[in-house]
Formats: sequence, structure tokens, C-alpha cells
Amino acid sequence: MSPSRTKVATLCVSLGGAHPLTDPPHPGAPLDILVSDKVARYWIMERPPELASISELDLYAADRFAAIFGDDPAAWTVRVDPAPRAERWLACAIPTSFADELPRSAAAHGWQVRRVQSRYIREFNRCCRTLDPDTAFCVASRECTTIGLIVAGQWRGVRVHPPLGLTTASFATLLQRDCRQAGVPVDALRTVVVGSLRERAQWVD
Amino acid sequence: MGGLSPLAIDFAPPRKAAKRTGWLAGGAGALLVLAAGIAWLPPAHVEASHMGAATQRALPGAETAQAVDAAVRELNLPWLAMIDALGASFGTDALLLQVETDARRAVVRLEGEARDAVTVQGFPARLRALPPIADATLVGQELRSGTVAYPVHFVIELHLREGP
Repeated sequence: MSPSRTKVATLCVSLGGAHPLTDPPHPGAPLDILVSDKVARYWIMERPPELASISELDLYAADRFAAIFGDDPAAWTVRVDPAPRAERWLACAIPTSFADELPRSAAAHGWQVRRVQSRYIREFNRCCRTLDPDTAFCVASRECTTIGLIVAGQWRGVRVHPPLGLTTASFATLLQRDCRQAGVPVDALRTVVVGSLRERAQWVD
Repeated sequence: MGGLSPLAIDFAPPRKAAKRTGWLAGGAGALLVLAAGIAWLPPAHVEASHMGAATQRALPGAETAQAVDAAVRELNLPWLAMIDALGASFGTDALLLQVETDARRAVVRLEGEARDAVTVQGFPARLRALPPIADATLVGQELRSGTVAYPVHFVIELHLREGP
């Protein structure tokens, strides 16, 4: 568990599982569970027409998840951000054990689980107010590098790569590849990089 | 207003509003007991020796105290921030028909109409991600065939963060 000097403690979950869960400083202390992008799955969904309910959206998202990643959606918890006016929605999935069992276990220890989010979602929400509608928003951490592409305020692509330094490709190459695949001109985007390895993501042509 | 909207993606189990209400009720009860206790304290000897019956200030009545308390609570609610947040979240996909506020409970009840049900289902998570709003619950939604453009009628209850 990360140092809990702040009011809200953070429990980090990586590929190896969750860090040891300690007892809260007092019953009901707030806890955020932060899931590494290496564990999470991201994809972009076209807004499906004629959806009648949120359960239909869940089924549709689970189908897309299975088609893209080939994993059994029953073992994963899927969430979609059904943004109004958007034609494409960002979707995210994490293993159900982290979305369901871990919060229950934390609650049993006396924590009040406030948020369970993946790293990229949390960093995006921290920075989104300052981002341009045309942005490549990237999180460069020691575990992985996540690049999301936004054009005219709409999500166009999101991919998780190995951490910078462990891959022979430079950050510029990764970004160019992702942009090419999404059909987005890389020059049209303002690149924003956050995370502990952001210094390694020097954007050069 | 620039920037992008936050992503309404959170895997945390839904929070129970009942607990918050209980806590608020408990807090209000404790304050009431404290206020009653202070009101019943006998005046100190020093004060009594210097103040005659004519100069003794009357304590405010319970109704006055409650009114002042309600006004202070109302002033402390982040109204402007909340209105900005609502405007950004609903956009053109929903019409806000009615806003009812309960400053004492820091609760706002919204009534509106939206283009589709999925958009409505996404509103609570979207609103919950905004700083002035502590919690948002979709109380109800209903498909009304009469309105073509905005057929889904909805009611959302917001719990606001109190303080500056």
C-alpha cells in the first residue's frame, strides 16, 4: 500500500496482484484502488444506435470486449463512458476480482472504498480540464505506456505499450504508429505526457 | 469553458445514500443536543454579578437559530460550481425542467428530459465525477411517448459537498 499520509489512501494493483492490504487508520477511512494499465483493457466503441437500457449497453460492451481481446467477459468487469453527443465511447475492463472482491475485502478491513479506477482514467480525469479537444494524452509509468488519442473532443484510439526504456521503439514511434492506425494526423494533436517516466517521452520529429 | 469532460468510469461499488443521510441526521442531532445543552447552562457567577435582569440578553429562539443555520448552509453550498457542472454534463442531450434544493441536507433534486435512456443512465456517474457533487443517484426514469425529441423523463438526486 502506498504511504497513507494523505487523507485518502491508495491501494495499488499491478500485474502481480494487489499490494498487501493494511488496516485503516480509523474505521471508514477513505481508500482509492488504483489498477495498473498493464492489467486493464481499453478500447473505443462506436455509439450503438437504438440502445434502450444500460443493460443493453453492458451486453454490447461485453460482446465488443470478447471480440477484441478474446477473453471471457464473465471474468472481467466492463465500464463504458456513455458521453452525451459523442459518437465514440471509451470503454475499460478490469478483472472482476479487482472490481468486486478487492473492494469487498477492503470494506471488511474497515476501509470505505471511494474509487476503483485504472491509472489512465485517473490521470485523465485529473488533467482533462486543461486538455485541448485535439490531444494525445499519454501516461508513461514504470509498468507501461498508455496512449489515448482524442480528435475534436472524440476518442479515436487508446493502446497500452511496454514501458519506455524497455521497448526499442521511442515514444515518438509509438505515437506515430497509434496515430496511423487510428487514421489521425499526428501533427494535429497536442501531446501531453504524465507519469513517472514522462521525461523519457521527449516528443521529437 | 475549455477542456474536456472527465471520464465517468469507476468500478467502485455504488455508495449507499442511506449511510450519508444517517450520518447527516446524526450530526444534526448532535448539534441540536449541544445547542439545547448550551441554552440550559446557568449563567456564570461573574456574569450574574455584573448583569441585572434588565441587561441580560435573550438567547435566540429555536426557530431563529434554525433559520440562521439554514441560511449559512445555503451560503456554503457551491451553487455556481454546481450550475457550471450541470451545464457541462447535460449539454444538448437533456433539458433541465426543475431544480429543487434542500440546503439543510445539501441535496439537489433535478428533473429533466433526455434524448435516450442510455444518456440518462450515464448522468449519475458523470455528475459524481465532478468536484462540487459528492454523490448522484438516478431516482427514476420514464419513457414518455408524447415528446419526440426528449422522450425520457428522469429524476436525479445530488448530494453536494459542503464547505468552501
